[in-house]
Amino acid sequence: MTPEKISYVFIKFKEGDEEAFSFFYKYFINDMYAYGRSLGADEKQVMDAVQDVFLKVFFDRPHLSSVEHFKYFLFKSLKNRLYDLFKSKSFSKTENIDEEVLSFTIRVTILDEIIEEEDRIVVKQKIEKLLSVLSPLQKEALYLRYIQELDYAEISEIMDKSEVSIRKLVSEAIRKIRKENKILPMLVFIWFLYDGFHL
Amino acid sequence: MKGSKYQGYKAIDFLKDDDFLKWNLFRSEEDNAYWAKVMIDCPELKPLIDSAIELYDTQIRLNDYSLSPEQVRIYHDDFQYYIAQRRKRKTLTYWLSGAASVLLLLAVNQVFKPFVRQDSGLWDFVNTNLLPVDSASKDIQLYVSGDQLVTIEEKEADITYNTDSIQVTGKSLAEVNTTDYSRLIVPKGKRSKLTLSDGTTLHVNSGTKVVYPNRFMGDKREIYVNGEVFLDVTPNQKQPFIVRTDEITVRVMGTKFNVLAYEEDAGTQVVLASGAVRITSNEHSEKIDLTPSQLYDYKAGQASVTQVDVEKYISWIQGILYVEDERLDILMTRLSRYYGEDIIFDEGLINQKCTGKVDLKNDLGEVLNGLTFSFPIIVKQENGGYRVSTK
Repeated sequence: MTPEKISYVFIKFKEGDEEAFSFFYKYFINDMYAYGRSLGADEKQVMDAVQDVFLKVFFDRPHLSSVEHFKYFLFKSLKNRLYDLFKSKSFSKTENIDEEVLSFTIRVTILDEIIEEEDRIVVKQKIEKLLSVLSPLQKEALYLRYIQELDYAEISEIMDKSEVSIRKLVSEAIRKIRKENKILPMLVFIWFLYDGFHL
Repeated sequence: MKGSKYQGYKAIDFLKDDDFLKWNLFRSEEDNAYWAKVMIDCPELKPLIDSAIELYDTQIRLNDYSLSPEQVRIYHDDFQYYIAQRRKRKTLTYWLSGAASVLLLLAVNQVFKPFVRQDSGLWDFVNTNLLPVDSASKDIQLYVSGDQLVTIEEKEADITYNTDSIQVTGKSLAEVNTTDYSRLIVPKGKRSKLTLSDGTTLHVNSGTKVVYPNRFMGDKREIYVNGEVFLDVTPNQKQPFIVRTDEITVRVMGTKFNVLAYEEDAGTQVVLASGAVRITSNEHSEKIDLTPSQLYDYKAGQASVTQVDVEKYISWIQGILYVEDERLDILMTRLSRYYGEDIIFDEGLINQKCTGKVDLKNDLGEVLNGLTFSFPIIVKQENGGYRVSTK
């Protein structure tokens, strides 16, 4: 699907075309599913919420200005819906679980196509260790920025924080990961000496 | 030499290098510069780094949750089904709400109790003029202005109050004393649609009586109900609409909402479809505000509120009866009332629960016969009614 074709389908969608709606349902469903699962909900919970969100879009026809706008609107609605579901659940269970349940995690998967199994395990552990220094909020912001490729304004909508604090969240996360391994600056220093030594 | 650390590295070794991983996680400017320098210093590393990047891009996934194409298809089918369901429900709501915007259905028990409060003309009238629903007549009875009685033989009557006349299924009855009260008595097996002088409409179910003024005057619109009705109330902020029953008083609030309720054997129920109502029990003046999809149940002086599927409670208007985990004997009582035919059943039915949908357009014999397939019961015709016994 080229971007031109997608914008064309988007126009049809705005006109109320139901096939275009189905196209976007299938186009976004996996991104929404992944985001919902990352927030800590299981498949049934996520898909219940996804269906609710799409039903709302279908019947309420919210104003959506672009495909990107559509995407972050869906993400934001999904998060709110999941939050509501967890909140109502915690009422009935009387356990205070809602805070922890919607806690963003990052799961690392290495495909088993080319890389040997022992290498896969090492790489997976390395990445997990790098990410382990981050808070759930930092993980969520990084995920939305780098995996879902949303811009800061969109992320600030979804996470209900100002754009400035999202930027801060992301840059602090990156700094934290970079700082965690001190080898890089050390190496630069050593090479410096090494280069000088030979001159 | 900047890249000396990486001498002898294979592509996979880069994937185990923290710096390489960090670079690929976020591609920050500083890391870009660093790796560019590495590749300039050691050009022989460039192809290895490129294939490491490719490995990273193609083989590593973060939060790689996805649904199979088959799952996507199933969820999409489900979604289409929900849309169809919702559309059906929407048509129903549109049909019920019509031009007005308040819907109210409520059911109350048939037991007459002396009124606790008597602060209105309506109450006085009801107290002194109450008629039993189970009068000998099998016809719908409409008492207009005192003793002026109109009997209607149709199964489903349509009664409309205009400013100065009453129309009964198309025919006009002239000369209405606007200050009087009317009484509508719908026996078992009959239904009626009633439009009041303010445009409010009522669907009146079998075995119900309704008392109301021929014309609403004063600062409130007040009616009395004993039985089961579904109301579509015309909004008017200056003249609140009040439905009184023997046990509770329902006050319609807000501008746009639906209320409905449904009768069981004992107690009083109100179900709200959308909008808001305030219910006061006549006994302790305890006030409860309902929000949409809530069922208010008043039994033996105790009020409770639960969340329900509204559609199931109003479907009788369209000739469908939904039952959910209902005792078979209670279902028999309701069927008997709706059809106006006697059903005699033994105590064994009390222990059986049923869930399902009954098409009330079928005749009672067919409905009961259908039940014999799912329950260990025998249905016999007897003295013009039915006898249902357990096997």
